Amino acid sequence: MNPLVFQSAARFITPILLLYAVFAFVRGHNEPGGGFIGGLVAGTALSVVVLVKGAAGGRRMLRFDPRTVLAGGLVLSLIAGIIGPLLGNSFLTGAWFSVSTPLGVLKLGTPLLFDLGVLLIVVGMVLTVILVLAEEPTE
Amino acid sequence: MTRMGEWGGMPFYLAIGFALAFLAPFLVRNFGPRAFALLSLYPASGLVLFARVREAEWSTPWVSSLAIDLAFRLDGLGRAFVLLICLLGTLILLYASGYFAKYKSNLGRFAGAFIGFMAAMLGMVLSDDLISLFIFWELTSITSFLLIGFYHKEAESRVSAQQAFLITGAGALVMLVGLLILGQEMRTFRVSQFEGFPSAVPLILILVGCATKSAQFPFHFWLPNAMAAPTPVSAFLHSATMVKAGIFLLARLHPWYSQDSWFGLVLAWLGSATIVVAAALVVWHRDLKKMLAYSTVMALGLLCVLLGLPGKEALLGFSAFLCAHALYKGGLFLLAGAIDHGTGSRDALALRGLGRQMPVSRFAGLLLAGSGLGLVGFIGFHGKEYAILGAGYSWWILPVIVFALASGVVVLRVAIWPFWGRESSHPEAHEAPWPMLVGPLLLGLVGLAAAVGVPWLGSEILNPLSGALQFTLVRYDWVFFPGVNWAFLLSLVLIALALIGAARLGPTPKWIPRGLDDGWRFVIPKVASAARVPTAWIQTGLLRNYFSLFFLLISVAGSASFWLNGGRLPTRVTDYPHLHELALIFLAIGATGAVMRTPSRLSAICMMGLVGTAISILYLVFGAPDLAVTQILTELLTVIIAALVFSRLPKFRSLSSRVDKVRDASIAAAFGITMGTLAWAAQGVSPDLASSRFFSENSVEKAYGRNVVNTILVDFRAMDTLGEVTVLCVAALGVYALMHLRGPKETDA
Repeated sequence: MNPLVFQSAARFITPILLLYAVFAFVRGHNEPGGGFIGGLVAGTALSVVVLVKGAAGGRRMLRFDPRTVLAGGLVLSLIAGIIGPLLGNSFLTGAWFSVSTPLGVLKLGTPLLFDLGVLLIVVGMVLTVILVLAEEPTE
Repeated sequence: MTRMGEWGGMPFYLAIGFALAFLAPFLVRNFGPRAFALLSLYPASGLVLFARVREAEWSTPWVSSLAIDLAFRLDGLGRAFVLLICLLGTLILLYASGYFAKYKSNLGRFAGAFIGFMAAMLGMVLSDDLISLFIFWELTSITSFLLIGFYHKEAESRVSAQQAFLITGAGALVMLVGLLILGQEMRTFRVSQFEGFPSAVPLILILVGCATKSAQFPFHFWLPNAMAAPTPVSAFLHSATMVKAGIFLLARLHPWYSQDSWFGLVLAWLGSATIVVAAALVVWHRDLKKMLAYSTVMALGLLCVLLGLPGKEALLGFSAFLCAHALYKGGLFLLAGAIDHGTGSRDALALRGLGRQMPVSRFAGLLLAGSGLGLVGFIGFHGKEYAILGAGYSWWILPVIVFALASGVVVLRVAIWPFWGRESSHPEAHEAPWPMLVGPLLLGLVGLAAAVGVPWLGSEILNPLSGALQFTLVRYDWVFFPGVNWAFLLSLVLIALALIGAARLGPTPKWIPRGLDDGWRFVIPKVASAARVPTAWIQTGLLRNYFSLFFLLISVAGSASFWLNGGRLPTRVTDYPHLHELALIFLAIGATGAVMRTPSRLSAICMMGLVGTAISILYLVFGAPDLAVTQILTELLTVIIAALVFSRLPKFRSLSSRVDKVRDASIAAAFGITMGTLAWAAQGVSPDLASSRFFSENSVEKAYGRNVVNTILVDFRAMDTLGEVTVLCVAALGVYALMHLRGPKETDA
């Protein structure tokens, strides 16, 4: 493929894919999707950046070390799990609460937080592997 | 057992200790070795705190489903240990601030391990629950490992640390089994709530653990090797506290076995054997610390004998000797360290006439020797007197005599000989700095004060301690000097003989018997190299071998379990595949065939992508959209990864011989047939849909989501997901490590 075409296309593909990742993540509770799929989509989107801009460019754009994202996701999932015991239930028991917004009642729960952690872990994993491979010097 | 007052001070104090263990490295970074003096405030505060409370308990449920509590209980036995640990801990930490004045690296870790050990040791002697006791016990082993291996660049330190850890660790595992059986027999893990009396099996298993921890024969040899540690560690862990853990547990259980004379006999024999072996070995050594180590082994043997012997005198002797020994032996170690510091030598033969250069040390030595020899006026006298009386007119007096002789020689050669004599052997010798003198001096003075105040000490510490060894209270009137009796006369004779022995100490032998230690050093590397053979066979490091083994095992196990359990395949066809399903299946099969035949890597990757896509469409057709999406995305990522590494891969070649191909094809065929058979057989089974029903019924109601797959992932089975994503993290870090940390780098860590 012509790199120029790919580069131009990536400019549109990446944001759209990222947006789709958010969409897939949010709808996951009721329709196909969720943290794992959202994470894979987001990981793919950011991998495209690495393909286009190279490892250094990709890192610059990401700002975070993917291993930090990985650890952050795990911590987030654990926090979601610990809320249960803090409320007197067992580990990872879901806790839900409603927030009223102008658009209607929004139901939030620790499973959402947990799923966000899963998403971050998947993104972090994909990018860790991709960046490591992209940074590997050619012999 | 009487009810005691509840006191949250115990867990609070322990929690502070463990927190301090983590803070200690930062303190050391900021304050240097002076941080040790600062840290000594922790045990010092414990001394004040626990001096004010005599009895207390505190408990909270921990693992209620297994009836395990985090339970602490302060009684005469625990309190005596706590006070000893705190007293020695304070002085030894102060000592360490002088000892390490010039040593810089790794001190933070050392301080952390040291404080951590102290907290674990306190937790152990305060535990009322057998399981929490075991956990603290293991913590002391781990911290001891770190502390013995402090000079980790020296091979001897590493070997000694590993040896101590393996021996005490293996013993602890045996003991754990014993503790579990004991808990079953007594219907509770809480020592204070025991019902009935234990049988032989748990007692013997626990004894194994105690014998390894307290360096009893035949596990005695790790303790002298542990002297590779810095002197504060030797003084604290390997003379006064940790090695007494085994003795502590035996004392803790004493009321429940003292009625059975056989177990007492086992203890007495074990202790006697230890004394005799250690006495036979100590004569070969001229290194101050090694000599002290063997005399510690003997002292532990004596404590074991006293626990085993019947009669009130033996218990009183145990109590008095336990306290006296911790005080004088800890002090002697510190003194040996001070001599080493002042002269650079620990050779008992070379050190003479240092008294003028080290006057304070000489004075401390006098005090410590007085207690160590058991002279009237020192607490050591009471320990020795009652030990002799406890053995009484029986054969058990023999190990006591051996102990008194051998230990007397060691005490004289460590605390007296180096300081006396006309000419100094080391003209450049100098007195140790004051933090290193406070410890030995104060411990010597405490030995003196304890004897003067023995009526008070008796009612405050020794009688409650003896009382904890049996079911009844002990009211014994301790007096400064009970009068001349046969024990006193025997003691005088033994001191005279020890003096002669110390004076006639021969030159350093050319050959030192090592026996069990050598055996250990021979066997352990052999175990490691023997393990290398099966490891090399199973762990080839080649992915294809792992796959082959994995598929082969699944095929064999799957087929076997299916056919051996009367597997039957359904013969009636109820459902025919649609044309588009057939097309997908054949697409996948065709692409697989193409992968095997293609001469180009690019087309192989494309064909694999085709297989994956066909499969994911099949998922979609059969109503698993989540699975299909995930599969498609994974295929996409595989393409991206392939694109990244493609240009760097070696030339695509055929590496397999004909035999390899046939073998691989057979494994693949076996695997395919197995899975096919199982899938076929599954059609004939009407599945139990209970869990399916549960999830679809409760998904909206309990997890507020209509996507059942997702509610299972993030709610119902979130624990599994947590495990899986943790594996993902580890895998990602593994890839990172594989690519970044290649080959052994020479690091100076």
